[in-house]
Amino acid sequence: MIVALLILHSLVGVTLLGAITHQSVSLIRRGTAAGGSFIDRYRSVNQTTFTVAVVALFAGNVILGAIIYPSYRLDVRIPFEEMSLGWAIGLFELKEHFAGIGFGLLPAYAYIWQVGAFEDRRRDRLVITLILAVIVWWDFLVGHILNNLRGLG
Amino acid sequence: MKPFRFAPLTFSVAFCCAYVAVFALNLPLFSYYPLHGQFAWGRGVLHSVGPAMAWYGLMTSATLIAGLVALCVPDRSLERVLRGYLGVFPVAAMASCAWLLRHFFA
Repeated sequence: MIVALLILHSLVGVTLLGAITHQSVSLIRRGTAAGGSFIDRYRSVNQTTFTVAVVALFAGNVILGAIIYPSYRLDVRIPFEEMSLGWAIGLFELKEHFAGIGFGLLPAYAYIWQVGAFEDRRRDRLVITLILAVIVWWDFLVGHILNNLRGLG
Repeated sequence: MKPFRFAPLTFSVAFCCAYVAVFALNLPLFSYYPLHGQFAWGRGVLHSVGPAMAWYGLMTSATLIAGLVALCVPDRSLERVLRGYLGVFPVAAMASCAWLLRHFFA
C-alpha cells in the first residue's frame, strides 16, 4: 500500500512539475505565435488555465506526502541516521519545510491568478509562481535522490 | 463589508512568518509518534514510544495562526504596502528554514 502511494506521490509530482513549469516558462517568455516553433507554442498557452490544476495537484501531493511520511520516518530516516547520512536527512527536512511553505502560498497564488485581478501586479504573479516552481522542482529532485538512496520497498 | 472575510494574501504572508516562528521555537501544536500511532500535545514529551514527528503539528500551528490573522487583517491593508514585494516572505521563510537546518550539512 505504501509503495503504491509512493508511486502515486511521484506521478502527481511529475504532473505538477509539468504544469508549474509550463506556466512559469509561459509567464517569463510571453508569446502569441500560435503557428510557430515548439517553443513558441509551448509558451503561448493560456497561463490562467493552469492555476486550478497547480493548486489541486500541489495540495493533493502534500496530503499524499503527509500520509506516507510516517513510513519515511521509521523505515528510511532511521537507516539514514545509522549510515551517518546527515546530508540526506537534511535534504528531506528542507523538502518537507519547503512543501509546507508552498502549501501556505497556495491561497495567494490562486488569488493573484484570478482572471482580471492584479493585471498591474505582474511582478508578484511572476515571483510567487516562480517560487512555487522552485519548490516543486526541489521537492521532486530531492525525493528522487532519496528514493534512489533508499526507497520504501 | 462582510466581517471576518478570509484574506488570501494576508494568509500566505502570515503563514510564512508563523511557520518560521513555530519551527524556530519548536512549537508544534502536537507531535505524532508513528511507531504506535500516538499523539501528544506540543513538542514530543513521550518516552519509549519511538521517534516523534513534529511536522504535522507545525503545519497545524502555522495554519491556525495564519487563518486567524487572515480573518482579522484584510488584504487591502497589505496590498498597499507589499505591492511587488509579496515574494520576499516565502523566500525569507525558505532561507530561514535552510539556516535552521544547517547542522545537517556541517
